Amino acid sequence: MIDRATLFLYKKNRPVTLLPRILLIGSIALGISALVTLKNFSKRIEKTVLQDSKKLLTADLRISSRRPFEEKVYSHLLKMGNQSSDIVRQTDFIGSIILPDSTGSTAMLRAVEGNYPFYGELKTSPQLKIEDLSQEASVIVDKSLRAKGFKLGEKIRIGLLDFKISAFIEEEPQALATVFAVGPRIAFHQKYLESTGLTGVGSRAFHYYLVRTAKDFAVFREEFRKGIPEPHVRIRSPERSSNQSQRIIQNLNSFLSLVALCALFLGAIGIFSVYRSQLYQRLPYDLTLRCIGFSKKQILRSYLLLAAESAALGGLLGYCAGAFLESKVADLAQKMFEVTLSEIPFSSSWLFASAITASSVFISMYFPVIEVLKVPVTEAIRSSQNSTPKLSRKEVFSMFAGILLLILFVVSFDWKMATVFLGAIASIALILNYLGQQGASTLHKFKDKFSFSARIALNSLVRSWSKTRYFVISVGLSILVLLSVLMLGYSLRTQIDLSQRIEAPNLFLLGVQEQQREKISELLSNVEFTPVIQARLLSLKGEDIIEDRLEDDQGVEDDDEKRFLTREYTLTKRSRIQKGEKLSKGDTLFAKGNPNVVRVSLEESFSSRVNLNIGDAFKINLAGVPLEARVDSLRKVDWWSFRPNFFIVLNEEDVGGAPFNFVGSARVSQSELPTLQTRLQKGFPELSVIDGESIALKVSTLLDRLSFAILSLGLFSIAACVLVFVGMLLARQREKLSQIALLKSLGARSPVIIKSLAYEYIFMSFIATLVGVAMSLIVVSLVCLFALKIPFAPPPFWSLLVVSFALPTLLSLIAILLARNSLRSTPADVLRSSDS
Amino acid sequence: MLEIKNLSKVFTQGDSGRLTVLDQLNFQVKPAQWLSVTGPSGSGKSTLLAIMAGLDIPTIGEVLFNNQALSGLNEDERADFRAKNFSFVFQSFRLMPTMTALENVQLPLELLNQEDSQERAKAILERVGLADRALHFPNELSGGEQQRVAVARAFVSRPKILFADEPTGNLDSKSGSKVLQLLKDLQSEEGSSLIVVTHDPQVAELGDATLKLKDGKIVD
Repeated sequence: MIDRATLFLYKKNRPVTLLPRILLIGSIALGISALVTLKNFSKRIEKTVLQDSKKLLTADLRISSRRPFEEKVYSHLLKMGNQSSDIVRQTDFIGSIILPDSTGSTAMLRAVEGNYPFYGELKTSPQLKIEDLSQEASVIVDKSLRAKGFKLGEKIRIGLLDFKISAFIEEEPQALATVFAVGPRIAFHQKYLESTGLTGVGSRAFHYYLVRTAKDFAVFREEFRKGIPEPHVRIRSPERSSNQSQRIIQNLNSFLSLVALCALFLGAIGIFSVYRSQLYQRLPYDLTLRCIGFSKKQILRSYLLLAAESAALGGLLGYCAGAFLESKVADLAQKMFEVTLSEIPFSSSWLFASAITASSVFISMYFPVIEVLKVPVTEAIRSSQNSTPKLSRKEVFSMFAGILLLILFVVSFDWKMATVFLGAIASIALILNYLGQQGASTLHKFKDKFSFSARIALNSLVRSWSKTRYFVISVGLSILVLLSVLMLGYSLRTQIDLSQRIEAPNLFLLGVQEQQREKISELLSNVEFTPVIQARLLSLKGEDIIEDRLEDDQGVEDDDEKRFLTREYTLTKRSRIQKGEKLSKGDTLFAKGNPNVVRVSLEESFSSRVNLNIGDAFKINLAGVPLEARVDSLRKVDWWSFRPNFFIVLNEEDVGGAPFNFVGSARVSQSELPTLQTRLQKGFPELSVIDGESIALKVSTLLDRLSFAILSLGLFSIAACVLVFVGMLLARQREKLSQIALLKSLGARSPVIIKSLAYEYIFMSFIATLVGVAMSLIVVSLVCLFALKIPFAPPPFWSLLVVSFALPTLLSLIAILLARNSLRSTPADVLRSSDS
Repeated sequence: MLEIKNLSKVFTQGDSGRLTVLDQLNFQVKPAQWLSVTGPSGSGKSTLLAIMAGLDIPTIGEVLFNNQALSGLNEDERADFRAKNFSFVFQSFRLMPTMTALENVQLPLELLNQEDSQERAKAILERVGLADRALHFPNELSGGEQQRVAVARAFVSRPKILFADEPTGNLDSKSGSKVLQLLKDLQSEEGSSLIVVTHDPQVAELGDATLKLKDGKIVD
């Protein structure tokens, strides 16, 4: 099968195809390694979340409530056979503190007791246990405060009480949660919780019982519900609690993987072009070999040997590159998100990835050979080869399907998402192709108005569209991906950048009582108070939702729709519509009259989720009192206004006697914010004073880091695009060389030739950039409008202008640089090289 | 009109040495003369043609056109010179694949900024019998038709000298004869000189004079 002649050809072909093979092997190996690294990164996070799910809960299960537990919950837990040493009370809330330097700050507060944590390790310096904090009012604080210069023994005021700093937290069980912390994390003993005065009526605290038990979750739940059927008390297993985190991680991972897939796919097209052009350059020799008696099969086999050798090298390189990338991932996670990821043992996915790399290399090298061998041998005796063989549709389909399938195996088994994504890419590619072609044709119609050089460029652009389209599609897609990521990040940051939104409040006070309002107004002249109260849905249109609520514990809580029915809501009362709201159904917020029901207005997305419309009746439990309610209007709400917004607004005339407390909100200048926060915390220590600006900043920083991760893949996409570009240039080099030779011999000066080359690439990349920019604006505005429901903030016009002009210029420069040898040579030299 | 004085061309071949392709050539081409250049392969015919046309530069010697030395011009000046005075017909046609036959013929006139380029291109296409193929692209034309477009392109700018390198080398005998007749007719109509490099004795015979080269030297 592999005879002496085949081996001879294989040996002779090895050195001459070295460069494209290195490009081919290197980029495919790198691309697939990046994908597998992403997959392993995701696996490590999932493992961190799953393995540490008990550490996340710090217990075997968690019982939670948004209001303080009644005594009977603890009694029932004991009655079920649990030891008191296996039960820990924990209360989490965001609160305000006064630091030792007398400045105010928002903090993540936790009051715990006993054997906390049952799972995971709480490391402090000096090493302390939670019970050590019960001797005197003392706290353990996270090391960010040590970095700010605070020392052990200094005082921190939490609400009404001063605490001594006893230790700094070095490591805590819920490491992943710290990524989302909005301020320093502080823990103290439960016995001081009440004295802080921060968890009274109206506070936003989460109350938990952490339980260590050997019982099966289902059995435990059944026993627990016999004594505690109250809906607001919920039980959660570690698996359930980690589900949501996993879902977010999986979605993010899928998105990143698919961006990489897009880039890799573009890269594969580029590499295919490079190798194909190399083969065409070798075509005369292969034809000569066929003339003198080498068979097609012998030539094919010699190239296949080369492909097999490259595939083996690719597999090895893919393995090494992946192992290197993998080793850097943990460091990167630690540096960017301060997260320590679980180690995973040597994964078979690496061998799998190596095999995939090898197969991809083989496929990318096999099909160009098939195409080139279709050239009839008679071409060898003609001095100009007019024959342009093409792969059949079936062959093209097989090639791309083969590569895609291999890559998809690495990326994800989520066929649904992959199909949607690939469908989207295909649609966008078709649109890019159509718009690009229309744009080029439109320019071509006005070609008489352009210079001679521009006309040559336009002819080349429009009349060889079948070659141009790959460039337009790949550049356009790359720009679309890159700009979409940048613009989405920009819109989100603009939305949450409170310093730029002069109308949005940036200081919030939680748990304000009626009698405190006047005194707070003296400190904060522009404060607005919004009455709030907690409530749950009891029935919808006469249908009881208790059944759904009980299913809650059996796992239905992960179903967003069900969670919408069973969660606790914060409601407000008023008589008018407020700024940032618009009536979408109903003439007025509430109908006039004096009905026997509570008149309410619903936010429109909430109304559709709970399936309530104008006139529908439902029942709510308002702070323990069941009330009949009727929907009078639907509202559109700007959730990003940073004002207190609500799903349900009650008519103030109908709920006069209910025990409302207030949320205070005010806009304060940035320079005054720290002083005012401190004064409010000192004057009203039992209130939680939240600095909205610093929370927005924290979210913005997190967004920046995520954008960075996504952009890194975007840059990979640009690199792939450059490969496509180089591949295409190389493929067209022969044709361009011939064009340069002819123009030179006809008497065209170098500037004319340079201009015609530059115009061609400027037109081509300008069309691609323009369509890419336009489509990214459309895609991002649609995502903002329908998915994120935020106003689309278009980036500054100049930045789009820079992208639209800089990229075409850059690409044209590369094209001219690649053609510089031909431009410098005498026409006779160019004629000789285009003939050879 | 065109005077070749003491012309030599030497190629250096790596470290191994020098290869003299043209050696001390001296001859003249008169106005409206058809000069055939013949000789065996490797005798230097194509190199001589490239140097005479200003596409390449000699190692020693001069090419004078109406007493102006081409070697005194830089690359861009030579390009201008070619555009105004010379034209070419190649063995492999060398038509721009992205341009129609008409646009290909217009090309030299466009380089010279001639406003009536389209009318003149149409007229000469009609003259070569391809008026009905004017809007066709090269890949839609036969080899003979492509070479006739190339001949039209060569004459459209009314060159003083037309250089042709094996103009019938890629054509069958019927198409070849047609192209040669066309070259002859147009040459006499326009009064251009014609320098044809050929292997074919029949083609060479059509010329007013023949220059035979062997090993870079004139043998006849």
